[in-house]
Amino acid sequence: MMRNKRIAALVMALVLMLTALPMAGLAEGTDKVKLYYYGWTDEESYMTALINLFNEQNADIEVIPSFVNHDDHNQKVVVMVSGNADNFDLVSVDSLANVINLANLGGLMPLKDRIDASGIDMSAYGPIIKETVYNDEYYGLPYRSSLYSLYYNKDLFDKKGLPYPEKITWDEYLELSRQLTYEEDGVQYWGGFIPDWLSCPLSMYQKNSNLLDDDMTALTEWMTILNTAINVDKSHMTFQQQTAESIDWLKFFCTGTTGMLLNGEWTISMFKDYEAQGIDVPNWDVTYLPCYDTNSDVVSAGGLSTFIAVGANTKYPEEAFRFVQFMASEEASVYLAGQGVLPAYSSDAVKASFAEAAGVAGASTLLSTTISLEAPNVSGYSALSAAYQEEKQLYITEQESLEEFIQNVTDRREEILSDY
Amino acid sequence: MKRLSYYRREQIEGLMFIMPALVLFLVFLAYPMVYGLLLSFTNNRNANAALNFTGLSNYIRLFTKDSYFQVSLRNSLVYALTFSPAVLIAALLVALLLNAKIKGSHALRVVCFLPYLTSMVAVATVWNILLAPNGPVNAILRAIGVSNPPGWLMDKDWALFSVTMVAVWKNFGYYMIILLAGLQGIPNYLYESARIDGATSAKCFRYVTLPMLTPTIFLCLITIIIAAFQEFDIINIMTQGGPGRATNMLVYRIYVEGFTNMKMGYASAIAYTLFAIIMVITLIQFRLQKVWVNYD
Repeated sequence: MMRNKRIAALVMALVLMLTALPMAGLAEGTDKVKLYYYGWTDEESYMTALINLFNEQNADIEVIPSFVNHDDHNQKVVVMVSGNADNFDLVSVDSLANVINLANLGGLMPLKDRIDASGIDMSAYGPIIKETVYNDEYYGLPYRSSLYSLYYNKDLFDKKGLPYPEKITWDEYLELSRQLTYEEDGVQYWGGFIPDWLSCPLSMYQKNSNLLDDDMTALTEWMTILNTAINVDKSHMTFQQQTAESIDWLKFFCTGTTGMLLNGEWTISMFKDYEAQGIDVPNWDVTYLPCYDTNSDVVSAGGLSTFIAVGANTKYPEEAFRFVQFMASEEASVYLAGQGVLPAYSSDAVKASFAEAAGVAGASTLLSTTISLEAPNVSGYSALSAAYQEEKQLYITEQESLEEFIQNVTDRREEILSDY
Repeated sequence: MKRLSYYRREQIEGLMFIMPALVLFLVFLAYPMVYGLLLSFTNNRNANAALNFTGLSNYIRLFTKDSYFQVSLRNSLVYALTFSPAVLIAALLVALLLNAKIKGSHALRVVCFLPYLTSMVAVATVWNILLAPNGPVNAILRAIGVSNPPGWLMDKDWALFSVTMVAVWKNFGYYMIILLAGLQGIPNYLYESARIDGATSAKCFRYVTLPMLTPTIFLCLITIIIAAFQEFDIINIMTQGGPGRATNMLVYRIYVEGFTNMKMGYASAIAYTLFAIIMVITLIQFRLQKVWVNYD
């Protein structure tokens, strides 16, 4: 009996060794450095193409991508950083605030020395790149830029005989929304759509203000615009309906029942994705975000929005940085622009590629908008933004007065910033 | 070579048998618990970095400066106080009903247990539609004359109640099965003796069923209250703590502080405060069981 057990144990050990051998052979047999990249599914199509291009150009490196849902991405990265994962080589980070958070966790490799030595043309990012310096270091290089604009359905404007919007004021936006709101054959047509998740008080940035400002006038004006559009004029879908019916802004706009949409530049690449999948997209165009003064340059909230960074524990820092360099190149940026993505790197070739890819006359307005940084480089701003979003939800659903909203935001700001 | 005594050999063999479970317990439970406690006295952002001790500052902040924690604590207490009796009573009533010899009781048991087996995402989607301001529930309420029905999940005054209602619906089937097992374990001769003595059905329930079921009810109560304080998925999927902070509860707060605000030390302090609350309530329950639980 005992002898049988020993033989069985020996056989099992042998089987384990034999199954491990081919795997070891694979690892040792290849001379390519394997770099693991973590991104999110919204970027999967163009990031996969760029990674394939990089892999073709670099015979000694293989970047292996892994994509998860955007909502889970940040948490996954935090867990990997907390676990000191050593196969965490390259990562896309969706905001400067999160780059700083991950740098504070010790999860990202400082890049300044390598950037200086590599000769990357940092001027191509414009002066805004200086805002990404944290503790005298770069912890990632941006490859996407973002800004909010006004997207509109040309057919609905034509139907009502209205001229397409170009540079319009917020009052004109509200008036157009009213004119585009109607019911026909039992179908509700909405003048405009503002997604409930939009946490950026857009018009506030046009008054050179943000959530840190003691003077709440600009924020009050933005809340009044929202309230007028949603509750007074009823030209925009309520947040209650959006939540209850799990409304997806893109699918909803594509139903052709919304005249205008306030959203970010990612709308363009998502339209292109839809078109590639054979999904109907309305006859759309884009223009400047509504503003207060049409005689001056239009300001929109946004900034350098998506970064490529290197994991602090990577075993291959040189090779990982080569991928960062590639993502910061004009070649990669032209490719991104060709997918309707607005790259952080700017050049004539990139602009031309973007305008051509967008395929609409208004694409040039995105390239001539002045951008105000959506999330200032201040610790605790993302928590403050979340608090604003919670109070906004109560105000817009008429469960809180404007005075209560302002008071609560002020009180919570004081509490949040005292902890950072 | 000296041979080990029989007693010593047995000891070693016993140790070897429990070793896998012991190692798993130490690595995945004991170590994280002790580490989490230490972390709660730090201002660490990264759980894996060198511990930067800041004394009791996290705990002091929790109770003196953090209004968000206080809101979450209040919501958790209200939820536990409403969810626990509601789910227990619902489970008990249905268990009593299904314990009776009625036609189709086996099928009904399965039906009642189904919500517990259903994915939380599916449950959330269905209930979000049902409880929408212009959804089917409010349509029925309007049809029967309620002119201004509640906003349910969208209304800060009704959201916590709505979440509790959905949680009760989802979980009562699980406790119903446990109580049903308890009911079926009550010997029949007790009922027969009571009937011979002239007891009515109500008296049978009051003097036979209920006392005999108290150990099972006690078990359910302990697990229900712990589960109530640890509620997370329903909040994460249905409301994300909103509207405003109306359904923000402690475990959701731990998640946000740890993984969104990246304050692992502070999140650990909330986790240990929650642990202390559950521990105290559980100890009180064990003390009180001597008064009402019948083990005879």
